[in-house]
Amino acid sequence: MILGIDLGTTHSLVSYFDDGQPCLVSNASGQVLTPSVVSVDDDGTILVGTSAKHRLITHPDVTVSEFKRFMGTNKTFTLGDHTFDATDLSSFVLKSLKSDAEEHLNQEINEVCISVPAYFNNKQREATKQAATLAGFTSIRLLNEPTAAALAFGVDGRQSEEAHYIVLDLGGGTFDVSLLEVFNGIFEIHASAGDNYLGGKDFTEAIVQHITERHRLDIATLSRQDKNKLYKAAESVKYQLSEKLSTGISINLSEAAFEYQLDLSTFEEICEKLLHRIKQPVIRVLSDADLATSSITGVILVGGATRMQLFRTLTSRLFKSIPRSDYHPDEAIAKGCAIQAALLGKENAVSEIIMTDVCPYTLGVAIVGRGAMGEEFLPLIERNSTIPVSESRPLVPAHPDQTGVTIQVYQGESFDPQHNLFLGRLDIDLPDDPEKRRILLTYTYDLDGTLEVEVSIPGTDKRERAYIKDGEAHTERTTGKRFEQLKHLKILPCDQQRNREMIARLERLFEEYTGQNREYIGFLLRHFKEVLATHNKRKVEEAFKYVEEELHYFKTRELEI
Amino acid sequence: MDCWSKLGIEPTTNKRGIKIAYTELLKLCRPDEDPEGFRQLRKAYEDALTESRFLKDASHPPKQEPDTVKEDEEPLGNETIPAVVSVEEITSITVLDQALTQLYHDVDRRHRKENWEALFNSPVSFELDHARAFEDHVVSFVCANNLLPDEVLTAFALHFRFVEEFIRFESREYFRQAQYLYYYLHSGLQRLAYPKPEILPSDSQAHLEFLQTRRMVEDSIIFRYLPPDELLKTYQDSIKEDHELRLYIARYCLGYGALEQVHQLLDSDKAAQVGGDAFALLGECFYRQRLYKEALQHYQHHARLCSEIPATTSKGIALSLAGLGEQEAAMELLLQLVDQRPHDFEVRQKLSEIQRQKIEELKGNTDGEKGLQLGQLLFDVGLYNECMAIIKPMKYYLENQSNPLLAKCYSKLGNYVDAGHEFYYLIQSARLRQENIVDLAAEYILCCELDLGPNQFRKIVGPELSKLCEAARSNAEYAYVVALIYTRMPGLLKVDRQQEADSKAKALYFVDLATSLAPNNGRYHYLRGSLMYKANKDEEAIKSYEIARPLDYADYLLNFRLGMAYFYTKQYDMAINRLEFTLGLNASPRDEYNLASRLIICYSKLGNAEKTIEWLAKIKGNEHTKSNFAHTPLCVLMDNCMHLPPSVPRFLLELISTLENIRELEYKQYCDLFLLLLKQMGDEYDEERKQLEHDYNSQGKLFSH
Ligand SMILES: Nc1ncnc2c1ncn2[C@@H]1O[C@H](COP(=O)(O)OP(=O)(O)OP(=O)(O)O)[C@@H](O)[C@H]1O
Ligand SMILES: [Mg+2]
Repeated sequence: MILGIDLGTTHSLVSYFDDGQPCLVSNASGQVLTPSVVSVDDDGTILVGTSAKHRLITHPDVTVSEFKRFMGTNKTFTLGDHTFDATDLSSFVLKSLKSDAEEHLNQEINEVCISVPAYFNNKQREATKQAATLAGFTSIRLLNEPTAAALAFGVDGRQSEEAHYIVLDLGGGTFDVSLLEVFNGIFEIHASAGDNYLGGKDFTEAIVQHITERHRLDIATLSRQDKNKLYKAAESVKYQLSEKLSTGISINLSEAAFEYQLDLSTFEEICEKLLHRIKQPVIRVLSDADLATSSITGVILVGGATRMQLFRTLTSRLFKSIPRSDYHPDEAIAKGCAIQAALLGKENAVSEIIMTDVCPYTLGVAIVGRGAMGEEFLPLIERNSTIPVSESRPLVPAHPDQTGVTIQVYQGESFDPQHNLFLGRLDIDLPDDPEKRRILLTYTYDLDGTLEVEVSIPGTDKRERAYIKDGEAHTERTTGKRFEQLKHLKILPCDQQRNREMIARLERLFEEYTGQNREYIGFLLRHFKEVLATHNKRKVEEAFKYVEEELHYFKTRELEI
Repeated sequence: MDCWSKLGIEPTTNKRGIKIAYTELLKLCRPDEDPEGFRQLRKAYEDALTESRFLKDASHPPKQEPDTVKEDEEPLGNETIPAVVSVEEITSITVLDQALTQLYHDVDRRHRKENWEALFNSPVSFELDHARAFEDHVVSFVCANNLLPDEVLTAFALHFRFVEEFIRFESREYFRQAQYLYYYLHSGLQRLAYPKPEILPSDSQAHLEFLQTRRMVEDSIIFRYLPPDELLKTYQDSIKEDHELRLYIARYCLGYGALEQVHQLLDSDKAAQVGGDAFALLGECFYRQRLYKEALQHYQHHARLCSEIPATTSKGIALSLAGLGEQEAAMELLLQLVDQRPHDFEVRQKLSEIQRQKIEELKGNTDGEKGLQLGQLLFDVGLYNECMAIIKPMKYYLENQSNPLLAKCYSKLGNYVDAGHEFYYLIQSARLRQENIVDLAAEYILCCELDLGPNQFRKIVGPELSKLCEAARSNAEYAYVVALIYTRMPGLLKVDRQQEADSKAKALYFVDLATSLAPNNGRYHYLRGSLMYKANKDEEAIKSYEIARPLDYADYLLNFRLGMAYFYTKQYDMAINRLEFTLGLNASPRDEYNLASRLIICYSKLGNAEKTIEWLAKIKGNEHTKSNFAHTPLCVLMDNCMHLPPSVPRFLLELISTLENIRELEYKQYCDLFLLLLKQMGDEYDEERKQLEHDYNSQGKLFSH
């Protein structure tokens, strides 16, 4: 069995393929969406998911979210006594999903297919793979998110119908655009583009900024809790503007309390820059694929943030067509991962499906500038080449007396290598015979997004090969060592999660309400904690039910996000 | 191994063909299973695509690059005269229009392509949604103002990819634009044979020019717009003599029934000069004037000029002979022709006319050779009962000759059981005489096409199958028979999936064989069309069905599938033709709904709002609309209506609001988008929008009844 995981900025999902179709796994609290939030409990236990999400408000110092944006960077997060980087944090989420699935399927599973934004570069991909390794997976395959969505969406419709679909994935933190062509029963991804730093989060931020400007708040001086409250309010305003034309909310901060109103057209105004940024990759994909909007058969929206009316309006304006809405935008990617998992597992039900993907960036090497102007970027594999792909180029040393060359591998589109992403280097000694001082450089990019660089020297049997995995960022610590270090951390087991979530939720409510309500929630919280301490299963179950019912009253007012 | 042999195709400029070859092979070396194989295949595919572009160039030998503007001829000077409208200000199409017009009338600036290019890059062109409108606009501008220098035209052509535009326009029947574009393509871009006249004085002149550049396209769309006499006059007025064009126009006039004009264009002398099928054309012209002798002469003359006599010419000869009263000779020819052109109504009619005359002559003979002849004739003209009456007493006589006439009568009368018995006896006695019975088996299949039981299949066909296959390689009819066998086989015998797939592949193979041996046979193509349609090869299906169509114009299945195939291949006007026709053929309410919803899409794709509404109105009353709406998801219909005037989406919305099983949120989205659309349409629709918004906000529903 191979799992499929959609490791999102805000939510993650786990899926598997069974009985001819993709299935989603619910977590301990019965939800298929697990918030990608990690928190450290007072006793040092790692909390993941809804319980951690509640603690964003109550324990902001030991809780993090939206760390996917920092994959492949050196940024670290300090949670209490621990310091983690985005890879570690992702591994906790993956581990928790893994155990949910194992619980559900009643077997140990070590193989996984994880989706990443198409526009993730190699470092970010490698970091994702590391996270999976840290979470205990032994066989890992990556899949581009829009490709996954296309897979999930794909198989309907008449196969002979030739169609071009454009897949727009606006998630929490990333935006991906891909063009899918269906031809003669084959799915071909033509071009991908995207923006790794654009997502639903930025729209929330735009609202936050609007609030602070309007009410003369200085975000820098706000306490962390107030800040989170503000974000939460903004988020709920954003959600409501997906449903109606205008909305209002009352915001209670420690220093100020006020009413905030926003309508759709103002929202559109304050997001103008963001909306413009959405257009760019779309235009690029269309021109890379040499297609006019009129040849687009349909627009497929995935990712939670595509629910925004703002976004829907923009896309229907851009494409003059209403996006398809007959599938679930949150679940499409996870389902696609499950289908990919089934493809990997050679399941019969999917034996007819063939999908080809592209590599989203150009891969090349730095060479001595031909105009004596420093280094130049020489592309080997052009962006949007269909993968797997392999390209070779003969190169000669710049200087006749040179005894060695350094191959510097870059990824990106800029002429100046410095503006591209450095992936790694390979040092080669050249033969003594000056006649033979030439090399053949071969890049092979496989389905996984792994780049193999091979240098051979024609006329000799010398061959050097390197798999470019990560740059220098992670060299100081190996995955194996980190695995040992993290192993000691206890992640809250599945069966306790539901209760832990309840406590977190009560704690959050306690902070949110005032007066009598607050007192009452305090009572519930105390009561539940006491019963928990007795370790009496039946009693805990009763108390849980009781508290849940009581909270039902609050739920109508509580903004569940 | 070059890319073509790797793809297993001949070098071609047909992109689709290359793509199909690639995708078929891709199924054999999947990227995840055979990365190396895939890389090679992909490379071959990409190379082929690249090469195909050069192939195209090779077929148009590169012409001398005419002198471009000489560098020193015109002082370049950077001083662009300040425009009244600056490029940054161009944010709407109207402003753009102003700017274009200004530039056009600015004698100093309009010769420099840079000035135009600056306009291409105005802000409005970057708006994805304006980009199309912008292009459309520029194109019609270019079409309306054709005094621009080639260099500028070339810039236009390159920037806006006119080739694609051309196709787009043509499919939308914006024929004028298409025509100009095409013209420009040739004069401005490739500078092909026909020098550009200074001015295009009249429409027909332009038509003519256009004709000259693309006469190879048969039944060109232009013809629909120009009456023959005008075309003739234009041609005669033009100074250049062009044989090919003359012939082409003559053919067109003939098709139009303008016989007078044909004679003006062609007489025997001219025909000899013009060559080609000019004589046949004249023959037909005479035949239609009932001047059979002249017709025969011209046809025969044409036949003498051809190394292989075309079927149409033989037909002309036969019909002319019949017209002259030479029945025997005519019948002989016609019998051959029926085989060649089974769907040719005229041939069949003439033949049966002659046959009936012969029946009259032979009447009264009941046995022997003459009786058999009479029986055969009765059978041929479709008098099966009369035929039975004569040949039933001759049963053993027939059996001895392995003559399946009786069996065929049974099957024609729908008595497949007796037909089967008869065939069985025939075959058994032929087997005893150790004769070749392939023919009989084939006849049997053909007769009982539809009602073949598994037992008979095993007894009669099974043992002969391999021989039939063998014979099929050089005989179209046998190939057809074998294709039929393989088409029916999965239904007759219990087969597993592998065998089923094999049968399908074999059926396709043999039907291809049959149609390649007899490319004009409608029956073969009917079968091929069905097989192709079922195999999702819509374009092939179209080809075959179009050939088969004359066989029975009112065939429901054929018209239905042909319409769908056109629809799937996005040839909407053709699809409309067929689908509307199919609807007239007693479609069931369910089919009616399906057909109508496709029609809605077709019309909306063609931008025809009136018709779209008309058809929407028709499905409104259909009982299946309520339950079946999901067949054509709402969003697809809605989607297709959004570019039409608001009255169309509005109508659809009203329709949707009468449905019961529509989800609230979905409905809401349609409403929102509709309001948005109105908003974009500007002031004109403000009133309507406000009213609707009000309704919507107060009732939560638009148009609630
Ligand atoms: N109804 C809604 N209206 C507006 N925004 C919404 C709505 N539902 C979800 N979102 C936004 O969608 C985003 C989450 O989407 P999603 O779960 O698809 O992202 P993700 O997969 O976690 O992130 P990514 O794909 O970028 O890694 C959040 O920013 C959230 O605010
Ligand atoms: Mg996502």
